[in-house]
Parts: sequence; C-alpha cells; structure tokens
Amino acid sequence: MNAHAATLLLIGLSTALTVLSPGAKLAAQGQDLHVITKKLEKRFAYQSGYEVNIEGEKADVSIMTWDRDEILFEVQFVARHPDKAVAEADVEKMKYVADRVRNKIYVRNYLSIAEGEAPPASNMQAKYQVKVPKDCPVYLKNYFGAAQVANLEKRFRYQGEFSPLGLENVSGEIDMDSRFGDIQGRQLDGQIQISTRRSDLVLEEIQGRYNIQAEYGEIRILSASSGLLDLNIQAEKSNVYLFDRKLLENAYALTAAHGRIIFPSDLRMEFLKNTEALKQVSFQPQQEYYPNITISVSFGDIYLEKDKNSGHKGF
Amino acid sequence: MKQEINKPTLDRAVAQLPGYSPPDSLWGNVEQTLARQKEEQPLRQALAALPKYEPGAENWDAIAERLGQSPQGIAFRTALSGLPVYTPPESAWEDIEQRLGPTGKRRRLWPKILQAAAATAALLAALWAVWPATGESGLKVAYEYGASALDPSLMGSSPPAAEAEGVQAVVVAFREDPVAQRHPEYQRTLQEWKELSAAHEEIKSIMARYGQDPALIRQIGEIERERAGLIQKMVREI
Repeated sequence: MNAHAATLLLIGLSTALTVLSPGAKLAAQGQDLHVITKKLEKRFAYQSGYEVNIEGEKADVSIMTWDRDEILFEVQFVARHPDKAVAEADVEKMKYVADRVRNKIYVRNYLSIAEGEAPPASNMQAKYQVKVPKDCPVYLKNYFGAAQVANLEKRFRYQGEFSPLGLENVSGEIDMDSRFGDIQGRQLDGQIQISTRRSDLVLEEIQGRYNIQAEYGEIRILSASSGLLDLNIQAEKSNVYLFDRKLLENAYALTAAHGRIIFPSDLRMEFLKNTEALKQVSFQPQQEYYPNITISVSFGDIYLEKDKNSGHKGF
Repeated sequence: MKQEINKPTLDRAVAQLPGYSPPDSLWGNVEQTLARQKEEQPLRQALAALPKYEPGAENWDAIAERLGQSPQGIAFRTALSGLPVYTPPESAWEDIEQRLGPTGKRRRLWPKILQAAAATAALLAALWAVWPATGESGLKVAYEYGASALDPSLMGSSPPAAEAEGVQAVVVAFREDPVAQRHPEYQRTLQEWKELSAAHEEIKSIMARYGQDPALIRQIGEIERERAGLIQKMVREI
C-alpha cells in the first residue's frame, strides 16, 4: 500500500466511523412525549375465493386466523411528539384505504403530504391486526415495517423491503421475496418459494418442498420434519447451515464454488470434485424414499450438522 | 209570384237601424299610414336585398373564453368539476327496463319514464356509492391519548449526516485505480457499494417522512457497517 492509499485509508475510516454512528447523537433524554393513536376498524364478510391484499408502509402487521367467515382489520396510526397539537395534526396525515374490488380486499396505508408541505414532525407508525379465515389467501407487501403471520393454510405471498418477517405454522403455497429484511419461519409446509437479498433466513421444522434463492445473507435450517420432500437452495455470497438429526436419511447434491463443504464424518459423501475453486459431493441414503437436498453456493460455505447445539464454532 | 215571408218586417227593421259615420280623423290616419308605407318602401326593399351573414366560429370561441375567465364562469366551472360522477350498477338498468314494460307503452310514456328512470338511477347510484357492500362494516374510528418517555431525539425528520467527503474520495480512487481494476472482484465491489448506498438513501428518505426510530437506526447502522467494510476493502485494493 502506498502513502496515498494509507492517507485515504485513514480519511476513509475516520469519516466512515463518523457516518456509521447515527446512534451517537441519540443520547437518552427523559422528556415525555404525547402519543396520539388513531384506531380504525373494518370488517368484511368472507367468501371462498376472496384474497386479502395488504400494502403496508412503516407498518407492523400481524396476520392471524380465526374460525369466522369474516375478515377483520384493526389498524392503528400512532404519532409521537412532545407537542400534543403537532402529534394530533400529524396522525391525520396517515391515510388508509380498505376496499373490496370483486374478490380482492385491498388494505393500504400511506402518508399523504401535499406538494410543498413539510413532512410530519412526529415519529409516525402504523400497526395492523388482521384476522382472516384459515383458507383465506393473503398477499402482503411491506415497506420499512415488520410482520408476523400464523396459521394460514392456503396461500401466502409476500414482498418485503427493509421489513423483517416471522411465520409460524403456515402451509400451502408460500411465495416470499425479501430485500433487506430477515425471514424466520417455523413449521412451514407445502410448496415454498423464497427469494432473499441481503436478508438472513432461518427455518425450523420444515416440511414440504422448498426452493430458495439467496444473495448476501445466511441461511439456517435449524431442523427438518419427517414431512420434508425436497430442499433446493441456490445461494451467492451466503453461508448455508443445515441441522437435522436424521441427516443420514436424506440424499445430497452439494456444490460450493469458492467455498467449503463441511459435514459429519459418518456421512459418507462421494467427492465428485474437490479443487480450490470448486467442491462437489453427493450422497444417497439406504432407504427407498428420502428427501432430496440440493445446495449450490458460490462465495460461501455449506455446513451440515446433526445437532444445532453441537455445531461448528462461530455458528 | 210568391212573396218572401216577413220581408216587410225585415225592411222596417233595417230602416230603423241607427246610422253611423266614422270620425273625420280616421280618414286622416288612414292617409298618414299609407303615406308612411310609401316612404318606407325603399328602406324595406334595401333591407330585403342585404346579404345574409353568419358570424365566424372564432367569435363564439372568444366569447366563450371571456365567459370562462369571468368570476362567474370560473365559479361555474369549479362547481361543475366538483360534481360527483356516479355510474349506476347494471341491476339499476335491468330494473328500469322491467318497469318500462312493452315497447309501445314505453314510446307513449317516454318523457315521463325517462325522468323517472333518471331519478331512480341517480338515487340507486347514490345509495350504491355510499352504502357499504353486503357484509361489510363501515369504518369505525376512535382516538386514544397517551404519553411515553421515549427519547425525543428520535423525533423529527433530521436525517443522518451527509456523506463524508473522505468516503467518496476512497470510492473515486478505487474506481479509477488501475491496480484495483485488475482485481477479480472490482466490479462486484462497486456494485455492492452502489446497492448499499441506494439502501442508505432509502432509509434516510423514510426517516425524513416518518421520523427516526430504533428499528430504522439499527437498519442504517447495519448498512453503514457493511459500507465501512467495503471502504476498507477498497483501500486495501488500491
């Protein structure tokens, strides 16, 4: 490294650290804030064939199921500001649409700021509590929010940006696309398609068929259930971790370009390629029926382990 | 020769009728009118001989424009554009057709039926527009007031500091450095920098609109850590 580069390094690091510490100016101050919450509620009668479409912005969304042929939206808009009048005015700038058009029920929130008008001075947030019948398909779009989804049985589609997502006991046709938003799923079953970029993915007790594409994010499969049929992972700049007590009962086709493949010694893998740039192994179990696990990673490692608690260092 | 019946009686009655002479002034008036008509004759003929003239379309446009710019015209236009537009559901027309009955009757009663149909359609359309769909509740709204002791420095829309010049200097130096350009990850590094910088701007933009909160600060912190990693990598490869 020459002297010019060294100077740039010092400048770069010092200025980067300045930029990197937005929290430095956030020293706690004990002033009370007025919290104005505008609560809205709307119900729709549910018929088979209906689909709920939610488009949230800066919204925490909770989607749960119930045993009624009815769809319920409880929405809250929250404005926080030291000045009560400011908070009261700002909460009205959050707008809400809830309409049924044919068989689709659209719900959306957005901030309405007229041209030339200043943005709200308050800290603003939306919250959704949604209850739907189990067989009601849901399509959720979320931008700078968060979401929790549980117990859906038919179809769940998701498109998220900067929004973490949690799923519990969701089955059927699941299609998710996330950018800058981690996904955690437990007890997912069905046809599952996941595409992530700069998002970590953690799945537990997986069943069904999975097709996962990931870029710049870790994938951790914490456990597989007996209902697992296929697991196909394509990843780039990502490490993939698979933990399964019945690791020897699966078939494997693993490829790592510019990465490593690490597995227990009793898993008798056949090495197809083993060079610095490319490693490829495969394994066929003894039994007649078995899940097929295909993992291809470039610029990342693949780790297979039976127990997530006795995993590799750094897991 | 047979004499006409009652002729002498009629002759006597006629003879007894009162006499009437018009006033002398009447004849004077008649003569004056005749004389005026004679004087006006050339004027009438000239008027009848004048060519016919239709004003040009541009004249009407100019008039319409002047009307449109007048306060009354503007008020009228504003009110007109503010009128709601309703499209009646198909069931309204079916209902109207059923009520109209056979064609002959419809023809005879057309004006009244048209009025009734328009009124019915307008009423149905208005009801359709404002009434919730079957099984759909109206929107319930309520307000709740509270207080919290959250950090007020999270309030407001002040975004994080602008990009430091030193950071940009490193990126420019890396982009133009011939040694760095030979590195296999040169393009990828620049693409990653572009993606992370775009994400950084997105977070700043949402902070400007919704205010800062811990989740956003955490997100921008993660992005900045990754960007710092890239800056270090660029410096190493220059």
